[in-house]
Amino acid sequence: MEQIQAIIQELKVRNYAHFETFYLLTKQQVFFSIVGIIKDQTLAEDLLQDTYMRFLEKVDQFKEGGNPYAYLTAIARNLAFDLYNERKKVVRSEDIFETIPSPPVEEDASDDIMKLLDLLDLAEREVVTMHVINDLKFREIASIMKKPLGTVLWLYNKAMKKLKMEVGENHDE
Amino acid sequence: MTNKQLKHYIKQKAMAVDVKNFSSSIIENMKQHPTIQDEVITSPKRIWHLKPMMISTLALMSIIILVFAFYPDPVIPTPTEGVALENLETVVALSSVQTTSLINIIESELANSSVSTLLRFGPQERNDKIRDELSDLSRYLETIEKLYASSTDFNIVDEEVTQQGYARRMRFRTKDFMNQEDDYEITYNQEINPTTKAFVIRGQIHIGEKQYTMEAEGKMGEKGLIMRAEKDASNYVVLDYHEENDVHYYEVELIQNNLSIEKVSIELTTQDSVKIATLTFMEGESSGTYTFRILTEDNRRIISIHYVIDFDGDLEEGDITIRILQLPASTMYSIVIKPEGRIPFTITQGRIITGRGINTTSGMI
Repeated sequence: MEQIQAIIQELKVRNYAHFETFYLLTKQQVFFSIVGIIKDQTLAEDLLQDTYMRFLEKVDQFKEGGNPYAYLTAIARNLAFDLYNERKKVVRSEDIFETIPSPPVEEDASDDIMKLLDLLDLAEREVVTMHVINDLKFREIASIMKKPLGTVLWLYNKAMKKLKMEVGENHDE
Repeated sequence: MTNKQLKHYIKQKAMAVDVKNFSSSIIENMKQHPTIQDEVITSPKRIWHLKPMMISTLALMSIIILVFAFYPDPVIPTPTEGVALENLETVVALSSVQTTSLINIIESELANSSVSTLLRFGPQERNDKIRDELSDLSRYLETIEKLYASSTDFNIVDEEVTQQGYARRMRFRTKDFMNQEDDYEITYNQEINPTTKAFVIRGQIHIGEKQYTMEAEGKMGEKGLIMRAEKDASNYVVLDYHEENDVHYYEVELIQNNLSIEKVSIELTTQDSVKIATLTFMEGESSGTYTFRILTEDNRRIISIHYVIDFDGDLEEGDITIRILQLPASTMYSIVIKPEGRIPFTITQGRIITGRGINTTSGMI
C-alpha cells in the first residue's frame, strides 16, 4: 500500500514514470469491480481503461492516506453502472439483460471465479468483490454502495453462505 | 470450509485471472487529454469522545427498534383523527420512555454493571476487545428481550387526562425473557400544523420515580421523524429515523455536555418472517456490527448474534449465543463467543433491567 501511495503522489504532479506499476498493483480489483456489474469481459476492459483515465484526471482529489482501492472501486463502479443503466433502458431486466449477446467470458482461469460470482445476485456480488477481492472494509463498501452497514453485512453473510454451499463441500480442508 | 478459507479461495482465483496491461495506452490517452483540476475542500475532522454514554445510545436504539418492530408500517394520524398518540406518535413516545429510562439507568448503574468474568481465554488482546464490546452490547439485551417477549401491542392504554399541563396519557407494559413486567407512562401534548402537515409531540416520560423530557417531530405522510430525549439541556439523544422498502433505519447521536460523543446505527428488517436487528457502532470505542436473532433451546429463548469486529483492518467474524443464567438470588447473562477459526470462550455479564437495577452477582459458573 505504501508503494501505491507513493506512486499516487507522483501521479499528482503528472509524473507517470511508475504508472505501470500502479496499474499492475490495482488492475485486478478494478476489473472485478466492473465485470461483476456488466459481466462482459470486452466492455469491462474498455471501462477498465476509462476508470484509470478518470482516476488520473481526478487524482488531485484523492486524499492522502485514503484507500486507493476504494477510490478506484468507486470510480469503476460508477462507470459500470452508467453503462449498465444505459443498457437497461433497452432491456429492463437484469435477467434479460444478461442474455444480450456479447462476447463470452474467456474460458481460462477466470472461468471458475466468474461462475462462482454468478451464483450471487448483483448486490451480493458487489459486496463479495469489494470485500474479498478488493480488500475493502465493510464501512467503505457501505459508503460506496450508499447502503447501511447492516445491509452490507447481511448481503455478505448471505453471499458467503451461498458460496459455501457451492464451494465448501468440494474444498473442505 | 470457514469464511477465511473461502475468502482465500476466491481471492486466489480472482488474482489468477489474466487482466491485460493497458497502462501504456492509458498514459498515451492521458497525455492527449487536458487535465481537470478541482478544488478540494477538506472539512475539519470531528473529535469524538469515547464511550461513557455509548451504552445509552445503544439502549436508545434498541428501544426504538423494539417499538418499531411491532409497528412495521406506522401511519401518522391526520388532524381530523384527533390529538391522541397513535401509531407513529405512540411509537415515538414509547421509544422515548424506554430510552430515557435507560439513559438514567446507565448513568447511575454503569459503574456496577461491568461485572464480567472471562472463563476461557483465546488471544488476549482480541478477547479483551470483544469483552469490552459485549459489555456495551449487554445493555442492549434488555431491549432484545422485551422486543421478543412482550405482547405485540404492549398493552397500551392511551387516554385523555388533565395532568400537569398535558392533555393525554399513555401507559404500557413490557415483559422480559423471565416474564417479569415493567410499567411505563407518558404524559404529552401533540400539535399538528394542517398547512405544513408537520407534527410535534412534547411530553414527559415516567418510570418509577424518574421523569424525562421528550420531543419528536415529523411530517404527516412521510416515513421518518427526528426524536430527542433528554436528561437535561446539554445531555440528550437525537434519533433520526426513516423507513425505506420496509426496512427501518435509525441513526442515533448521543450528546454529552453539548458534545457529540457517540453515533450508532440500527437497521431493522424481516427476512423469511424473522425479525432481524443489526446494530453498528459508527463512532466511538466499539467498532463491531451485531446481527440479532432469537432462537429457542429447550423451550427457552436464547439470543443468537452474528458479529463482525474490525481489529485495525483485520475483520473477525463469529457467533455469539446468550443464555440467561438463573441463580438463587439473581439472573445473569452467559455469553458464549465463537470467533471463526479461534477457540470459543465464555463470559458472564450482569443483567440490567430498567427500574429493577442490575444483578451484579459474580459470574463464576
